[in-house]
Amino acid sequence: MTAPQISPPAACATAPSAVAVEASCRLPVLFFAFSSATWLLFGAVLALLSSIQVYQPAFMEGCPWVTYGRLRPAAVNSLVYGFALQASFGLALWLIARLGRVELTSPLGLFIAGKFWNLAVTVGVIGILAGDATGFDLLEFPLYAALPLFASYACIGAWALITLKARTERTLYVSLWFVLASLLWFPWILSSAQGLLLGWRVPGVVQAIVAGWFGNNLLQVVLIGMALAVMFYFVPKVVGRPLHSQSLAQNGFWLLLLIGGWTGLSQLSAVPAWIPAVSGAANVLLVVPVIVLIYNLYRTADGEIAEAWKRSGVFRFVTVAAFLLLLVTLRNAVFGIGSGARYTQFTYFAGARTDIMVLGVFGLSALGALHYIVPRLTVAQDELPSDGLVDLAFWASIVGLISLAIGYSLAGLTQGAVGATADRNFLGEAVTGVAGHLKLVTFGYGAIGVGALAFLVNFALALRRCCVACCGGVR
Amino acid sequence: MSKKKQKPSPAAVASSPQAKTASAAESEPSVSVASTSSAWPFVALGVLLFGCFLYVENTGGAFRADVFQGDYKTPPRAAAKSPEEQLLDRGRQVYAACAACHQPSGLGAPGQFPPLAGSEWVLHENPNRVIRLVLDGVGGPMTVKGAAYSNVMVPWRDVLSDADVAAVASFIRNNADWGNKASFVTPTQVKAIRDETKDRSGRPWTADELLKVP
Repeated sequence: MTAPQISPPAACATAPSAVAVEASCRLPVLFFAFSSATWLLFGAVLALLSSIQVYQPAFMEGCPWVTYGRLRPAAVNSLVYGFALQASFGLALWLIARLGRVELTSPLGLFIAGKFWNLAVTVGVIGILAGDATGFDLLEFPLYAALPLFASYACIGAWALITLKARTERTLYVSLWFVLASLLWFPWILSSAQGLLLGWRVPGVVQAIVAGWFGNNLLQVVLIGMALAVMFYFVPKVVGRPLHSQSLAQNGFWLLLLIGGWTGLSQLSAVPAWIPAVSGAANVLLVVPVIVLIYNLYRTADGEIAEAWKRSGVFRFVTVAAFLLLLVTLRNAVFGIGSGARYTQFTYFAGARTDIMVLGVFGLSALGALHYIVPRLTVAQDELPSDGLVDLAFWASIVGLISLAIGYSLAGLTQGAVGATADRNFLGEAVTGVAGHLKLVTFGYGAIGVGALAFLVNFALALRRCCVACCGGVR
Repeated sequence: MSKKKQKPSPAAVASSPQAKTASAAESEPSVSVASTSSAWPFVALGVLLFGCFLYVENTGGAFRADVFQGDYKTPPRAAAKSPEEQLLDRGRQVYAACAACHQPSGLGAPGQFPPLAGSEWVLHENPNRVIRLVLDGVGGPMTVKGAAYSNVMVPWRDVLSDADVAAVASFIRNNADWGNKASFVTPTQVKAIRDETKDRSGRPWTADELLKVP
């Protein structure tokens, strides 16, 4: 990736046409796009229902399948494995095919592996609802779902890497660095964590450390890496300028990989003190690569931002996602170390990080990218059929995220204030007292669900138009 | 367009007018060739890294596995114990065997087992008697702290090593709980006496014999 820029025509002597590339992407990428958006809708609904139970304990009581302890993990795992990772696969395949100027290897195989991935996620979610959850954050899927999940990923990842190897554009663009890192990082952390927790069965405190390490790497490296791949693809593309700096991109990339994996254990308790200390320090250090990467994007788009915002839907999504990435990194730097971490420990404030990163930084990037990819692969246009639904998906997602972030953060800070003082009424102030903030969270999940639904309807409209064109207007 | 009910082939899509508008902007993003490297990320990283080292130094509990509250002052490592303390610790363990008769209190049992606390035999300025006594035991009439005893103490020559004899002798001579305070016994002293008296090999001493020992 340090190779100098070579002139594209020389490298593309045997490159397939863009049309052929997109044709190879059509089946698997559209499948991943559609099913990930469906899981987003499903996960948002589950999260909405479970968030009601926090301030209405009698809501849906009596049926063990939908108690909070099962519904919430089912929602989070639907969002992470059903939506986020699946959308990552679609985006990764598309970016590899486009940037590598290569047709996908075995689109049908990818489609079938994707089917199995969905089957495994479905089995896992049902397993969680049935009470088989493992109890490790972000690893709740029982073993009988986790193993097929890993097997189907192995196929998807292997075909993606084979495609990457066969690329005709030999220079790896920045986005492909992040894609490659995510593709390789995910099997490593998943197999290590599952092996240690479910296979080897490490004892006590080590379980919390392993699960925390996995969850953090999944969010901070795999998903944020995919979000950055999307940002680095679309920002230069939409504004029509080359990326500002190669070296800044390299610095940011390597520092993110180096530091990103250390964050996220800063609020573990009952572990040796050096673990939260080092992790808190990493939370602060991570500010550097994130600022480097976002500054690079900002310099690339500088002067064209307002114009691109008006012109391009994907640019809007990606800009907000980049801004959120900056905010969530600064938030972690302040509240992930020292007294800030102790103040917000065990509160909604700390827990909201997962939601902001999965639905916000990654979710907005992915949704924006899908708004660009889906119309190209269905109706061969740059925009989905309904502009109104694009706007609805964008604003509903933004409003939903702001509600989530504000609701969780205020509830968490209130809890932190109560927890920091011995003579406060814990039940009255920290449990029932935050109901108002949590209603905002419920609204946020609802809005995100509406955004996903708007995208799905637009998707269906595009598919219908595609069919109409294909069948010559005969339905 | 054809009316065939199938997905459009790449060629069909390419020939459609929509595809032409889409493929008009086919430039993929690239990196500016004018870009230069800059040092500010590493300057920022260095400054933050310095602060992070201080933070981990102050709150990381020196990377010890047994420190869970880094904000408390890191407890000092347990100071290495002096040889005397180690000898007394070892002696306390060995004494568990003696305590069956002489009791943990060191007071023995009146009329049966003589006391060690305050015993002139134990606290004699020279440890030669007590070492012999532990090695080969003692039997017959014996006066301890003004009381008469007539019992047999078993020999420990084959059970206890030189270090153990030195440890237990030091322990009973220096047990602060009993009020005992006398010189420490070294393994070298024990070895010298063990060699000197090796022909006794377990024949218990009598009080008279011991009293002749300086």
